[in-house]
Amino acid sequence: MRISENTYHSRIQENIAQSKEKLGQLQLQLSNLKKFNTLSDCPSNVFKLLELKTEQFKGEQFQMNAHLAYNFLTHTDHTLASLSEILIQAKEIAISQANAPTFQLSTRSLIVEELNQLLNQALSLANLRIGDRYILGGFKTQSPPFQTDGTYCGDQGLMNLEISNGIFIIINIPGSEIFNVLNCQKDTENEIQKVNFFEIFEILKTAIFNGEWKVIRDCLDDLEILYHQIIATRAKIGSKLQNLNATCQTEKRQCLTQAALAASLGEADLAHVVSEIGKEEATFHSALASSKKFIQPHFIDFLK
Amino acid sequence: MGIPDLTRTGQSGLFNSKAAMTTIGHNITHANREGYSRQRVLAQPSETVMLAHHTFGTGTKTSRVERVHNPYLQNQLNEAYQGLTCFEEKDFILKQIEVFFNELHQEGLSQCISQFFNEFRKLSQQPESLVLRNSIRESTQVMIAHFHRLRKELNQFINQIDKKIEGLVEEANQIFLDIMELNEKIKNSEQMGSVPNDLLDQRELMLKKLSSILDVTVNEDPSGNFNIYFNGRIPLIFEKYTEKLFIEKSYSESKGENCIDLYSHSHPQESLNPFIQGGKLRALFEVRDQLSHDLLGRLDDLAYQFISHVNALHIHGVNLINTDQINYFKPLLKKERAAELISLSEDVQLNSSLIASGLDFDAPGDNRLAIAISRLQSEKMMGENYFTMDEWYHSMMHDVGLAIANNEFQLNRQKDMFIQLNHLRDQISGVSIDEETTHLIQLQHIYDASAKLVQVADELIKAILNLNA
Repeated sequence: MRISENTYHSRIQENIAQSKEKLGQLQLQLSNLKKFNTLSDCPSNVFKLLELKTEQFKGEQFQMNAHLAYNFLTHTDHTLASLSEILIQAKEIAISQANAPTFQLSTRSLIVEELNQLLNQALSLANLRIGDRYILGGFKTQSPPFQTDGTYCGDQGLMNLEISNGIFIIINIPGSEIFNVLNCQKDTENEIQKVNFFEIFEILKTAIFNGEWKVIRDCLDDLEILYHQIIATRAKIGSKLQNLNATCQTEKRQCLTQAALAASLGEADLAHVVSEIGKEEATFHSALASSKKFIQPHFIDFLK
Repeated sequence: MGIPDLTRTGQSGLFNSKAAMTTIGHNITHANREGYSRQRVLAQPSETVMLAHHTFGTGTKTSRVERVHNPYLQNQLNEAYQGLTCFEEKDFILKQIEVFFNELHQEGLSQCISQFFNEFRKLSQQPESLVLRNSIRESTQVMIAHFHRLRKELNQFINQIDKKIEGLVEEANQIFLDIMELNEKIKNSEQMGSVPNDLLDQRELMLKKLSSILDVTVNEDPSGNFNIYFNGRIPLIFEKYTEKLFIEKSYSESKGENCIDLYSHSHPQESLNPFIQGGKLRALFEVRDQLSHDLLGRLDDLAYQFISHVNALHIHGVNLINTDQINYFKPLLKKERAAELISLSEDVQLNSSLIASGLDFDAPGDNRLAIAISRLQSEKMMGENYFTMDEWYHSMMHDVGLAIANNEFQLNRQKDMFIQLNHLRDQISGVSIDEETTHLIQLQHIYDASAKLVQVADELIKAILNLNA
């Protein structure tokens, strides 16, 4: 094979250029520890990476949604707990009045006053806010859902929040359901009795004031029903919170798996890159060394 | 056979070795020049002399200076070069597109789209908030800016390609004229009996340059005409005729794009675009008319579907001031140029409390619309309901990456092939200084010896002249 000057030089150039190109790529990988820096590095993996990035982005928002849902539900739960306390107190008063009625009007007025206080407490709980939002008014979050006489001004809106891809959770309970201000007729057919919270208090108040212990005894049953309803609602919230926790855990796990996958897809393996650089460096040096040998001797040098 | 004949024989040796040495000098000085073919002197014996039934040689005669050259290989090399320049140019311009879409490590449209939907998810947490509405509006504007940026960059990119095409066509026309001129010079000097080696090399270089622009084939007819054809059939240079290429731009209102077509003067009605098979022009036309065009269309499609789907939901939504029938984006009638025209509706632009979040009136806590809009992210509404918007945009990025990766693969293969062919050419036509130096020494000895011959002849004549003395 005839080797001409151009053959020498173009070979040297090609070898050095190739080596330098590879070194450049590895150097970039080493400097930012990313396996891919352009879309063309490995289109299918890059595509997967972009998908994962979008999913992660969504996942972060879902976790924030879950936090809010947790906040809402626990607040509602606390409210219900306080309500059940109020009911217990009202029941105690009713029991004491049913068994040993006070005959003095002034004492009875005092007891009625106590009941009024309890009612006010219940009202302020009914109009509970998180930030500037009334949480028991359904969709009507900007105005107090209960008036002082117990009239409900909210609606039946159920607020959904997406806590994982396609999984929604209802984060509120409309106040009407807790206090039974709407359909409070006794549904004897299904043996479900619904009792209006505020009405019962009014009846109890009048009965105590007038000393009608028979009515007071009836009220006791109703208070019991109300109490059980609230406990049932709390149980519902409890199961929702459990559900929320479980979904949240799954979502977090998914985020972690995705992050791990993204890392394995897109992050450069340090040990691998460093060893590759070492290898490439050796190639580069030998390319340079052999070029030196190539360029040096000419026949003309031996003629001197 | 006289003594003066001896002098002449010596002289012929001197002349011939000097001519060969000159050629070697020429070779050495051009050892590294691209496209140079080494030359060598061909010598033949001078006329013989018959004397007393014996034939005597009378020395040597330089017959011609020949170029060491393989026309078949040269053709192959030109073809490979057409492919190489095509892939190289494509690589170069595709990497520019890649920059527009590369958001692996920085923010881009994909992230902005996700952000848009996340903002609506935030609004679903707190549908009463004006602050969140402002933040939705801001992030939408960032997204819109990205749509505009991408469309503008792609358009500018196409304009640059157009300018490049114009420049290349002009260059090609100039090369036609140059080759025509060289053809004439070569023909003249051939008619005068000499071989214009350097002009031939020059013409080959010109042809290589032309190959980098267009796919051309060469055909030398028996009468010595050097004809160049485009796409193997359309003559660019034929005998005395030189073709002139020109491009014509037209503006298509419906697409909102410039179209560009290549024509020749002899066939001004037929566009040559589909016939370009190699060279930079092919790469430019291909990327311009296929990939860029496709990307623009898909970007417009994305913007249009985005606008219409969000608007279709938003118009039924109830906002903070308890009204509905408000468009979120300015509605568009057709999808052409949607990415350029996408903008917030004037209502939302002026008053962010007009961003709807619910479906019922008098229900500020209603978040159903916000959820519905955020759910659009997972809805397959692009490309005949096969892709979500994220997937659609990601597939655009994927296609850009894939086009580059495929081209890179072909480029590397073509490069290897070209390098191999070039080595082959260098093996045959390249200059080796070692070889030339050895020849030089050899010739120096011949020169010395020929001079000696003249000297001997001189001495012989002197000896004869001195016979009487």
